[in-house]
Amino acid sequence: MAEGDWQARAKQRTRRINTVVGALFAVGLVSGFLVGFFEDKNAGLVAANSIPPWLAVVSAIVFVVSVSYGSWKLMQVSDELERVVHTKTTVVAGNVMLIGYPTWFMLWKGGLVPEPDALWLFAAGIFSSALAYAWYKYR
Amino acid sequence: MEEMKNRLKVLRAERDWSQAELGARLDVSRQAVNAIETGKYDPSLPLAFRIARLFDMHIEEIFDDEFTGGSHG
Repeated sequence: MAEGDWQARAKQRTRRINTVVGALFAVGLVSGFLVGFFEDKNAGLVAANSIPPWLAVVSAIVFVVSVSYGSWKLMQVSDELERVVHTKTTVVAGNVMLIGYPTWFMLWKGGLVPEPDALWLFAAGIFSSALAYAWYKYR
Repeated sequence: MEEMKNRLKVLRAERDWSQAELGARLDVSRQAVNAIETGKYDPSLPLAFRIARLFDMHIEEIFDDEFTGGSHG
């Protein structure tokens, strides 16, 4: 394989992945901007009824479609190591949430901690998946 | 967990290929080649076959599972 050939193929691989990640980032950016633009400025960060219903529905649809399609597309353009890392990462995040909620629930039943909060559990899942990704990818 | 050893780094060096070049020839990332060479990742069977075909060798000439825990039958 000539010097230019394999370099072009490697660049093409990187470009394919960057295109998908970039598109997802752009969708997230636009969605975040719209929510911020229409959000009730007097409402709290996680308050209910703080954005118009139409925006809530559109945002939910855009999120589900873009994340579902984007994840599928990303799996298509990634190599098998990346797919394995993503799978392991998802398992770690899922386990954190699946184990985290019942543990928190039992401690709450005992009156030791506040009631389980979905947002914190979701944040723990995201944080653990980021840690797991870094571990499996760069260890 | 069983550890798979391989001769990928030696075979690559014999051809004076970089990890990125070998990755491009196998249609995987440079990181994947590095992970296989360092034993952190065992390739799938299809990728192992692609590697074997690229070097014109049999899979078992490149990969060695060093399995000593029981009978192979």
